[in-house]
Amino acid sequence: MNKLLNILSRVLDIKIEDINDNIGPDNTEGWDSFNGLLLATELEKEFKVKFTMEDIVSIKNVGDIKTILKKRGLKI
Amino acid sequence: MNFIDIQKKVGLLFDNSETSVSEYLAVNSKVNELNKKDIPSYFRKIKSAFLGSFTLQGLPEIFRVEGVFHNLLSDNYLAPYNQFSQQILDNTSDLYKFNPSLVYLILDKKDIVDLGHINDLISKLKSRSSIKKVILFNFVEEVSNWNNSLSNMFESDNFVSIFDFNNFLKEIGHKEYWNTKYAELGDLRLSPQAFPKLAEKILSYAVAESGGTKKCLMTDLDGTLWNGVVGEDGVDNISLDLDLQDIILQLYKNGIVLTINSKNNFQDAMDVFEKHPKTVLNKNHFATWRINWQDKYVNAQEMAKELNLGVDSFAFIDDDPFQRNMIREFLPEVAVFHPNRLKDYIGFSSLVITEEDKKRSEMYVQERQRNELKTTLKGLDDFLKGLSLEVIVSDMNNANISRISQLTQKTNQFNLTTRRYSEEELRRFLDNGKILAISVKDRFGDYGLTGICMVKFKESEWFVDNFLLSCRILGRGVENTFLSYICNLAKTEGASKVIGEFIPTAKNKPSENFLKDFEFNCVSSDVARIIYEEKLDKEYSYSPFIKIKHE
Repeated sequence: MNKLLNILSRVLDIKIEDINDNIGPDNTEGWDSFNGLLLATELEKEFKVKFTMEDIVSIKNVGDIKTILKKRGLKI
Repeated sequence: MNFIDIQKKVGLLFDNSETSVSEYLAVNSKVNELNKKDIPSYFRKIKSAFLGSFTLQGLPEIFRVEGVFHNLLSDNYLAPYNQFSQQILDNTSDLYKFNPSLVYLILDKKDIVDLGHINDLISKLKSRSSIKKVILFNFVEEVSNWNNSLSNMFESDNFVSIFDFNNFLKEIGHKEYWNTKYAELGDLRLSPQAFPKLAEKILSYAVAESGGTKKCLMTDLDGTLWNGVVGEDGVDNISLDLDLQDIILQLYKNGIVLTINSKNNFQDAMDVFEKHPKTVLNKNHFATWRINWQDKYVNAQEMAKELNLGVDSFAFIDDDPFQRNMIREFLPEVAVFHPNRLKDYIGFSSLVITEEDKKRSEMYVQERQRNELKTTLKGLDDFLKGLSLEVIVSDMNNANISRISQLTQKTNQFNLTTRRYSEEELRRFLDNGKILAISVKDRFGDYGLTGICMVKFKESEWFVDNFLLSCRILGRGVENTFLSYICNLAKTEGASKVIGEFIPTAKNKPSENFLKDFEFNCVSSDVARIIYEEKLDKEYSYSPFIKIKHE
């Protein structure tokens, strides 16, 4: 969990304690299209997984990220 | 946070070659918050523009953060997505308002109609006086059709440096970073995960352009040049890091001055260089060392002083994080990193390396060896005898004329008249005169062409119009032997006397009494000049420690 929170905090430039499942592009200034993609590449690197195109376009908030990572058998 | 804190943080990021993109970006926001008034004096500044035909967001930010590690603060401009042509061709564009000195041009083959377009863009950039250099990325391609043409086009153009992007991608893994699924999502043809390594590579141009190239590598021993502790394990039981030693040897060959900063007993350490059968490096590669139990930052300061180099021109490698942090703490201007990062370190790169630059490391070593001889021998005579000095006199010719002109232009201290001559003027001088040059070497090395005497013929008299020596060879008897040689030559060639002259300047005090001490007779003296003459009524002797010959 810590790994995920750290990455979200750094990429989106928000405090760890402000992160919840509903955080997404609509309510977070730092979450623009570039940072969304950057987030995906950082997660792939950190968790050693590969996302599909569908995975990436389906991400609408932090909860979706958790779902995708869990689908790949990762404990977060 | 202040600059020093940020610099320490960036140093830690640099130590880990796997530092993530977001970690760099997080530091970038801190760099942006810095107050520019607090910038340390050893920092250099540069303005860099990035123009690309695909998404490069994030690259300038990481470039900026990594620059801090190299004492460089880069202000960056990133052109809007795929607007490189408009930005370059429009005289009133934001690019030109930004006034960059470096331009990075990063294009994909499929966005370019033909190479002529690139030529047009470069010509346009060249017409802007603020821009000192364009770094043009070559193309990602399997068969180097365009890249060969590109190299040919700009081969002799100093304004353009071609960055081998194609090869860079091959080295880090083409498939993982180029045209992945992200290329379709946000035109991230180059994955941001490649940015940290790429930024580091291309920073070499900015560091060199800003004059921040390091001159000296200071290395630790135990755990760095070899695995193990020589003082405990013994020479036979340590294993040398030959890859690292090879990299360091290559730096030496490129003129980087090498020094040792190690906590060890001196003899234990020297035993490795003298007795280990596999050592690549030996004593003769190091300009100086501090192998002792003193704090390493004190050692570093001492060596900088001894070598007459700024501490800010030092890089330091050590496997021990405590020692690295100590240097970072006390000497933040030194580039400090783990030995395994040396192969990727770009701080030693310069835009051009001359043959003279390459000899620098060797000359520092020779200077140490001379000084050692000086302290082990008792008197000056022993010292001079041990040097085996050779002086070769030659007439001015096409091969040495430019060096002679250069010496008249820049020698200030041991210079009797400080007359400056262009090559053309030197040639005319020969109509009624003689120009002799000396090259000096000793058993430690070659000083090259370092002294000149120019004689004007005035009927039967030889008038010494110019007599100068480079400071590097003073104090060895060379100056007297050279003048003796001139007097003997004048006599042989039938001259009646030699006239000498001293014209005082703000800087030539060291040569003020040279003619007087040589026992020339003073015939007139005023503020502007002192004139001497010598009747040539004797044989002039040479220093017994110098072999002199005319070629």
